[in-house]
Amino acid sequence: MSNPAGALESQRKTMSSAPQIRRKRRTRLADLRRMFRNRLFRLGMMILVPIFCAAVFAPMLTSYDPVQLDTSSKLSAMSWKHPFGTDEYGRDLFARVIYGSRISLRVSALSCVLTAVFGVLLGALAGYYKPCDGLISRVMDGLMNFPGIILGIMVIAALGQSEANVILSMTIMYTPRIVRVVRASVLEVKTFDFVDAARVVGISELRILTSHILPHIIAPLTVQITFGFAWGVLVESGLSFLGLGTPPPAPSWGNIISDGREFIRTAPWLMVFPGLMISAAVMGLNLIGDGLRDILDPRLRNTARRIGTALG
Amino acid sequence: MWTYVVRRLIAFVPTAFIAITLIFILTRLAPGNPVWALIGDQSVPAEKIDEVVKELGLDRPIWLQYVTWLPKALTGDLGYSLFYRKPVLEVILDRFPITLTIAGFSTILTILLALPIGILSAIRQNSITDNLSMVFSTVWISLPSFWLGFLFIIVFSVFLRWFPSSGYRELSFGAWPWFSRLVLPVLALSLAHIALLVRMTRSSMLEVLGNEYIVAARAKGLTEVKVLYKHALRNAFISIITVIGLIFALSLGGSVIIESVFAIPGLGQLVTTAALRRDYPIIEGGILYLTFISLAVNLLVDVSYTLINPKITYE
Repeated sequence: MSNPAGALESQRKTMSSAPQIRRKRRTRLADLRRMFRNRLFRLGMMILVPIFCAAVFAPMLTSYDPVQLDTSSKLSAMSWKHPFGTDEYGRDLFARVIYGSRISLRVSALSCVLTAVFGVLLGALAGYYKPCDGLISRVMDGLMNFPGIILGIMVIAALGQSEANVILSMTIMYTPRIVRVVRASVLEVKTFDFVDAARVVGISELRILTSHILPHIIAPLTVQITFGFAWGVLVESGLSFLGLGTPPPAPSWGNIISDGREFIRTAPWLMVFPGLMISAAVMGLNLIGDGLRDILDPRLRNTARRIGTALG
Repeated sequence: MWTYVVRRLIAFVPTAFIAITLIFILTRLAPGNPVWALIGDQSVPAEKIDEVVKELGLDRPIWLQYVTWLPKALTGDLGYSLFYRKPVLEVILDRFPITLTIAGFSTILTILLALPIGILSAIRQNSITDNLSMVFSTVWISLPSFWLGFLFIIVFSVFLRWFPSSGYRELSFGAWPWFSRLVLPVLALSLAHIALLVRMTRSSMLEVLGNEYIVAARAKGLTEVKVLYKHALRNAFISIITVIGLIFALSLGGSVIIESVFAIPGLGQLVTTAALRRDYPIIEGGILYLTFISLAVNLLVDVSYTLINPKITYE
C-alpha cells in the first residue's frame, strides 16, 4: 500500500474489467447493425464495396495486362472483346481502369493512414500541451492558407514525381484539417470531470491522454478520415491529370483521363469510364462519411465539414 | 468597428509571414539543387554548373538564402524566370487577370445560384425541392471538375457546337469571343462549389430558423418575408459568408486544373507547367501570388462580418 493511488486504480480495474468487456463487445455489434440501418451508409457501401472488390480481384476480372501494348487494336470502341474500348496504344481500357483503381485507392488510403497518425499526434499535442499549441496551430493554419491543390503541386515540384511523393503531398495537404478536429475535441474533452477524477486518482498525464481522452475523439476522427479518403481520390486524380501524380505507364484514374484528352473528339470513352469510376468512388465515400457522421457524431450535422471534399 | 479592422490587419501579418516561410521551406525540400533539375539530360560542364549555382546563391547556407530571399519576395522582386527570360512578376501579372476573371465569375455564379436554392430548401425542408437539391448536391460534389470540363466539351462544343472548346480571348476581341470561352470553364469549376454552398446555406438557415426569436418574430405577427429576410437570413449570413470566402479560395485553386483542361493561359496553368519543368522562381512566385490573393479575400470576408453583425469584435 505504498502507492494508494495506483492501488486504487488497479482495484478499480479489477472491479470493472469483466462487465466492461462484455458491454464493449455488445456495443460494437450493435454499432455495426446501427450503421447498416443508416440509409446513407448503406448506399455508400453499395457503391464502394464493388469498386473495392474490383481493385482487389483485378487479375480475375480481366485477362488483359493494363500496360501491354497491342498495335493491332488502337482506339477501338466498346465491344465484347474490350468492354470499355482501347486507348491509343491498344491497351484495354477496362483493365486499365480496374488496375487504376488499385493505384488510386492505394494512394489515398495510405495518405489517410499517414494523415490520421500525424493528425492525431500533432492535434493531441496541440490540444493537451499548451506550450506546443502556438507553433503547431500556426503552422497548420499556414498550410491551410494555400488555395486548393497548389500545396500539393509545390511539394511534388520540389520532391519529384513518384507515387510516394504524391502520398506525402496529400498527407501534408490534409493533416492540418485532422489536426484542427483532433485539437478541438481534445480541448473539449480535457475539461470534463472524469479527466480531473483520473488525475486525482494519480494516473499519469500520458495515460490520461491515451486511454481517457483519445477514445473520445475516435468518432469525429473516423468521420473526417472518411471524407479525407473521398477528397484524396479527387486530389490524386487531379494531380495525375496534371501530370504530377502517379507517373505513366502505370494507370491511375487521373492519368487515363489525361491520356485520353487528345482523343476527346474521336474516342470520348477514354475519359468517360475512368471519370465515372472516380465519381462513383468519391460519392460512395462521401455517403459513407455522411452516414457515419449521422451515426457517430450527430452534433456535427449542421457545421462546416464538407469543405474538404469539394476541392477536386 | 475600425479597431476590429485594424486588429484584423495586424493579425494578418504573422499569417502571411508563415505562409511565405512555408513556401520557401517547401520549395527547397528538394534533395540536390534545382540547377540539376533545370539541366535535365543535357551534358553541361561542371564548372558551368558551379557558376550558375554561385550566381543563384545556392551554395550559401539555407538561412542566409532565406534572409536575402524574404525582403525581395515581399517587395515583389520574385526573381527571374530562366525559361521565359523575363522577371517572374511580369510573367505573373500577364496571366493573373485571366485567373481572377475565372475565379471571380465562378464565385459570383456560385453565390447567385446557391443562395436561393439553399434558402428555398431550408424553408421547405423535406419537400420535393429540398430532396432534389440534396440529391443533386451529393452527386455534384463528387464529380471531379476536370472531368466535368471534358464532358462539357464533348456535349457543348463537339456535339452542339455552342461554345469553343478551349483557349482564351481578351475582351478587346469583342464580347462574345471573350464570354463564350469563359462559359464552360466557369460552369465546370462552379458546380461542386454550388453544391457545397447549397448545403451550407441550407444547414445554417435551418439552424437559425430553429431559434426562439424566429418563433417570437412570427408570433408578433410579422410577415413571413420579413421574418425570413430580416431575422433569419441576416443571422445565417455569418456562416454563409465564411464559406463564400472559402469558395473564392477554392475557385482560385480549382482554376489550376480547369485552366489545364480548357488550355487557358492563366496563372494556374503557368504554375503547373512550371512544376513540370521545375522552373522554381515561377512556382514560388505564382504560388506566393495566389496564396496572398486568397488571404486578402479572406481578410475582406472577416472584415465584412462587422458590417453584417456589429456585435462581432476581435476577441
